[in-house]
Amino acid sequence: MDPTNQDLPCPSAERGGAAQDDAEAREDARLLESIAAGDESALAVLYHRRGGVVFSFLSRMLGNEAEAQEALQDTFIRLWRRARDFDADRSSATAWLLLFARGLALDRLRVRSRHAAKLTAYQSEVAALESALSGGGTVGPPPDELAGACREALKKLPVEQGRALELAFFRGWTHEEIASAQGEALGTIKARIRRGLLALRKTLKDFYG
Amino acid sequence: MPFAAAEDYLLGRLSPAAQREFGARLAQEPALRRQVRELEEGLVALALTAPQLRPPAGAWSRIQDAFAHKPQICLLAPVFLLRWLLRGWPVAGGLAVGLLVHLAFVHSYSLRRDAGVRAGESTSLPGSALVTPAAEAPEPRHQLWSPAPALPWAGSVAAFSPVSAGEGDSLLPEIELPPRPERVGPASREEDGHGRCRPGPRKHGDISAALASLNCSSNSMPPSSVLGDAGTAAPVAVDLVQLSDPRADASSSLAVIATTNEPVMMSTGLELWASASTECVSMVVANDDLMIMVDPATLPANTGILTVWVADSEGDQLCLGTVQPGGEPIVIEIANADLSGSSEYFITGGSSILGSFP
Repeated sequence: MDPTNQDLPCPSAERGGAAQDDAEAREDARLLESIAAGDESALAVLYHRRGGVVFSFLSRMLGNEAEAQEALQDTFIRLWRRARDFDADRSSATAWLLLFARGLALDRLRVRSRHAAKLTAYQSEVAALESALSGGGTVGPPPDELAGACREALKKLPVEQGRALELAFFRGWTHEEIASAQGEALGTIKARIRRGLLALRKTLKDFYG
Repeated sequence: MPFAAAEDYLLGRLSPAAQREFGARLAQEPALRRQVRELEEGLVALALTAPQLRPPAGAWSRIQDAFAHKPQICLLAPVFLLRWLLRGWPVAGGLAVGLLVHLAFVHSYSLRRDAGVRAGESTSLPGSALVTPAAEAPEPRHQLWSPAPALPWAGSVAAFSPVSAGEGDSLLPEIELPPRPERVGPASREEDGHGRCRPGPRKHGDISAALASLNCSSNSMPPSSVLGDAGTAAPVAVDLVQLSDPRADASSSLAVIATTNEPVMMSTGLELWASASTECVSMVVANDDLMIMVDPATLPANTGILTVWVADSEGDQLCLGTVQPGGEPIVIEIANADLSGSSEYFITGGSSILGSFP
């Protein structure tokens, strides 16, 4: 089986509503459990289903498709050994997979350089994030309804709130580093990030009714 | 709620005890449950904002390659070696390349599915980790080695103290360390009754003296530490200690190599984050009142004067006063504090977080 010869839909592209989403989530969870049990074909199926969204996420985090590809490979190779850590009672399979991939991407970001929380680093990261969001890269499927809604929700956030959220999740900056770079109190940054998460979460909930 | 703790919980990276404890808190604390869901679902939504890309055509075939050849462990080599070489250990990296090539063509090792490094009670320093041997190899005696992580403040010194896990007597004797100033924690092996190792009591001493005392072996790739015996099925408990300025932030990863007399196998990474010391902050809750004490006794001598603040998650701040090494502790009472879990408070000094609650 060669999943690379097939479409690689992101989760949202397959979703048509809450019931279908539940079925998709159950199937992802089942695949992770099969991988944990040593089923290599389940790994291929999971890659087919989620490789696209993981690669997109990693590209956004790393800002570099070549490195994102390495991280994608690293993710699925390591997944083989770590799938047993997944517990459907604790988290959704998609969130678990993204958190897993994010951890590896953050590892790479930290290896690149330990950034100082200075204004120049902040400005550089913000510019890179905006550039990555504005396009380029390998042609993929057009944004579906949910992805579009999430992007709109992100755009609607106050600028500093959106930047704090992106720096924290896509670049692994600590809250303290963001506070220092934005010249704000730590509590303000934590509140901004939380409010941003709430807004994005609401988008998901509204979409699925 | 620290994101890191929630992430570790969702990923299943906490120790079994910590996992249970977090799960119990979730069952009892709706606010915590809500915050974890915010993190989980917010992350998914945020991921969907990324432009949708198709993975390059060769990506899957490389993953397949990783599972097509034995020993599987070799397939982890590129990433590992890249990191290793980036950290400036070309000699060690070259050795590993040679060994891996040797292994790839000569030996057949079976990869343990449960190999790796797992966080212990905490992924912050000080804390603990469990190292499970990376592979089962034909020889009965193996040693796990941990190349020292690159620490941003103190050069390349091992951040991980060795813990004995050999058969019978320790591979390494316990080291009597001189008194402070640096904390370091060689730990004795302790069985928890289920065949697993737990870190023993932490000692205090000077890290350079501790490292000098290690008698690793002639094929050591210094700086590194023997972590234990890979020939046993039981994980090795590793006591993680913070070496230098406890106020500094540090990230590090633990790479583990298993060597035999015909080496080599390796695994893996555990990302560690050391945030500021929380030892100098203690909090006592009585009814709805909260008492915070900031005791400068544990601050390093060169700390200078710290202005200590308490900040809430809305950005409001209250200056508690100043502390300095050798000075008097600050004690402050906050009446009717919001301890419901819907608010979060931080005790900060200088640019560091000294503590947070609830």
